[in-house]
Amino acid sequence: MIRLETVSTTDALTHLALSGRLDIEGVNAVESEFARTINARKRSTIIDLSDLQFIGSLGVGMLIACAKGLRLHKAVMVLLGPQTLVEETLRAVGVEALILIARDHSQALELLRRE
Amino acid sequence: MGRELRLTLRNELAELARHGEAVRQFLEENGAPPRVIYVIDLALEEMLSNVVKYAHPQGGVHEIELALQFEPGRLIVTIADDGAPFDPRGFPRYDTSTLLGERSRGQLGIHLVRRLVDEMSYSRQAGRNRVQLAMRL
Repeated sequence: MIRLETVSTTDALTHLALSGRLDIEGVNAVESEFARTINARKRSTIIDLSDLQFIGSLGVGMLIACAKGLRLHKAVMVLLGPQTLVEETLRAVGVEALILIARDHSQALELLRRE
Repeated sequence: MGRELRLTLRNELAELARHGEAVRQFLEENGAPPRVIYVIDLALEEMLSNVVKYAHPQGGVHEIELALQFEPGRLIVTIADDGAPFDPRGFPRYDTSTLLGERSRGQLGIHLVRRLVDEMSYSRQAGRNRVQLAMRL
């Protein structure tokens, strides 16, 4: 099961959280709303993954597609606090070439300041 | 509590979710490390969904056989289907440096399996694909 939550929105930032399993079912359940929220705001986006237990290739693809869209608007995506195995999956694809990964909220904000 | 699990799945995506929990539970009950459980969970999602989506272009109901077996020092996972020939080892390599360019999502799945499992082998006999994955324990 997957859960998508909007944590906060400001003029400069969108902060979302994904929890549970971003497997095939999970992507089917949240992809439209996820993309709609990010694409509508076109702001740099923090995605809290600290409670995400699993991500498959479709989930990785979902993140990449939205991150590419943000780059077109000179905005970036930061993944916050991914669990060890989720982070290993993300780095096995090389997402760090496009998407920032932060240990905690302070580091996320620091990475965004540098962009 | 056995050391082998055998399942037969229909070639439908809903079957993956239905049996995924049984696989995870089997692995946990038999003391598989968390990373092994995660990697096999991921590998099965990718490999089985590929069979469901691509193995039978003409459609129809088909069965996929799944077996998980603990051997000394290794977990062996075998996936067998009667679909079109497909050797995942021969799938084009995913180039992570082209992440920013056009990319087929389909390539990501096989890439992840290749990167994360310890061993992968393939054979085809009597019209059946047989992929075997192994993880060191």
